[in-house]
Amino acid sequence: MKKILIVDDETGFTRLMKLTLEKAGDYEVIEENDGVRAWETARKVRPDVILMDIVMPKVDGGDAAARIQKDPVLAGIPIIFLTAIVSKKEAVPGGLIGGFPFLSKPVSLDELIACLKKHLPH
Amino acid sequence: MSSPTQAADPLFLRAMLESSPDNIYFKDTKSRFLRINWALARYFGLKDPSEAIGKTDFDFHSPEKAEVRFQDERTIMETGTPIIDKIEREAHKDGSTSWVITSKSPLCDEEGNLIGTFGISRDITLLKEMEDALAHERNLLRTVVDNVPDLIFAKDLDGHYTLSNLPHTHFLGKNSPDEVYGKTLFDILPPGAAELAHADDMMVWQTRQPMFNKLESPGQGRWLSTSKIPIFDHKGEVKGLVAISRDITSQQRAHQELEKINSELQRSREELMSALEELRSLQLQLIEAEKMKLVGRLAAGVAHEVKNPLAIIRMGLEYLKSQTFGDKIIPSVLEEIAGAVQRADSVVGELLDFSAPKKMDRVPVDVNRLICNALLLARGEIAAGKIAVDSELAPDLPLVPLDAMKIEQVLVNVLTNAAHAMEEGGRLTVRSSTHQVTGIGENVSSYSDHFRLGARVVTIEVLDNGPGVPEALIGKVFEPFFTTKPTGKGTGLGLTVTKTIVDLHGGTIEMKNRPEGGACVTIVFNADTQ
Repeated sequence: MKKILIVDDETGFTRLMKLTLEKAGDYEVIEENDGVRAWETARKVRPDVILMDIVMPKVDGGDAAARIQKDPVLAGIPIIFLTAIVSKKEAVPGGLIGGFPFLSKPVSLDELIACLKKHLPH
Repeated sequence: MSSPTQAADPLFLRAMLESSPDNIYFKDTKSRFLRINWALARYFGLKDPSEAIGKTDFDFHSPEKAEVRFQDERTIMETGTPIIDKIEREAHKDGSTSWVITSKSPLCDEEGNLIGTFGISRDITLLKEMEDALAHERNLLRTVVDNVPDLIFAKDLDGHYTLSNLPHTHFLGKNSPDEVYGKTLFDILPPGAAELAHADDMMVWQTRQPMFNKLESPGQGRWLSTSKIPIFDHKGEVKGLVAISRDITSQQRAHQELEKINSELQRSREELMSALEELRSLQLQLIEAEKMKLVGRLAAGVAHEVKNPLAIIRMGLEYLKSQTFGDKIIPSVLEEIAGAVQRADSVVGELLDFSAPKKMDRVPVDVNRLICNALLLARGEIAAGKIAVDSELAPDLPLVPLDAMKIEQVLVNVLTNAAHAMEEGGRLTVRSSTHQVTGIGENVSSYSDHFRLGARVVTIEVLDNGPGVPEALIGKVFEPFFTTKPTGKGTGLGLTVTKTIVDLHGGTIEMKNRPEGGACVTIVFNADTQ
């Protein structure tokens, strides 16, 4: 079972992601709604992949992702941004933001699973 | 024995003395009148010629005048030589003067002995006055001719100069007109110049028509404007020509200077116009950039606030889709909701696209190629609507500096828009053409103010035969969120984005209803823009 940490200040979104993903596949989804606590939770649960919102109060997804990436304990865990402020057409070559892959909200389940499969360690 | 005519001499003499209007007298050796005729008697104020007999000029004239005549007669008698046609001015007692011409001769008897003198004089006052007037006029004319700055000359049919005023004389390098008279062009000018001028003379003589204001360059940077007029005699035969040449070197130089200044002005104007166009484009880009910065911020905010709830709904739908419901209608309801989420997401996506910074990559491109690409890209929409396509593309279009990708987007938007307007099928016509903006006649259009005069423009027209756009709304088609399509069929941003892109290229776009039905979108780009 793959562990997915989802970080988003929208609790409704993280809850439905958890329900949907856990029902759709062999996933354990851990919710976190705060950018500040994202690093602590990641250290605690050691997820296989992190889905990270960008616009969040206090610490945004970019800073949280940078902190996680720099942590040797968490090194190598793929981070996928989930953002509401970039349109699909704007996707930069390779579909990356700041070197991280991203998905534009709202995202379909098929799209989400395809992306997870691509980035989850086999 | 005398002949019959000699016998008639006294009769002839009397007839002459009685009726001649000239004054006639005979005097003895002491200058006393032997006889005078009636005309002289009237001149002296006598009732009868006999009253003068025995008197002298001292009795009728002033002493000075009488003395002159007395001396003349002395000379004639001493030398035996007559005085012929002596012109004298006579002053009269009433203060008036007159002119007479007199001839006097010695008077001899039949044996040849000198017995006195005789004379005849005629009043030539009128002639003299006419001659004086003529001389005055000639003098006046000569003064005018010599003092005007123009070159005036006349020639006879052999090409000899018969008149040359001072400026003309000096122009020929001579000091006095006498050095010119009787000479021809070939005596004075170098052969080439002489032949040219002579050809003009010949033409005037042969055609009998004047030649006016011919521009001549006689060398040394000088310019003359010459007119030659034929001279006719009383029978209408050409006898020569009179010519006047004006030195227009200074005017010519001023004209050339003016042309130079004019051309410099024209060049400056073009540079200014080009700078203005560039400034306008820059200003537009600056305004656009500033506006877009604000819109971008707004769009990002809206996107965040709308897309997050949409993401929740979408994920909720995904969850529900995995559930089993007793009510068979529920899955289709969920599909409807998913469609609505999709639409809302599209609107926000287009808003983000609209507000995203636009970078132009303008290179010279073939507009016809862009049209063909756009027709390919839009073929799905066109085919779905059972629409026939006519392409009328001008083969000789100049290349236009455009961002090919963005203009393809513009054309796809316009073509799709036209296809959507013909829901029940129709005919779509795409035209391209080029012309120069002249601002004259049919060339006057809403865009002729937008481009500088003389600019070469390329025009793209997309015509449909759908229902057209209600006249009250046609001015709003490029405004954001304006659409005539049913809800859910369009975001109302497609044509706004289209216009923004065309504006950023310095072009114009307009939509008009066609008189025969349907709408026409006209896009114009400046092919000269760098």
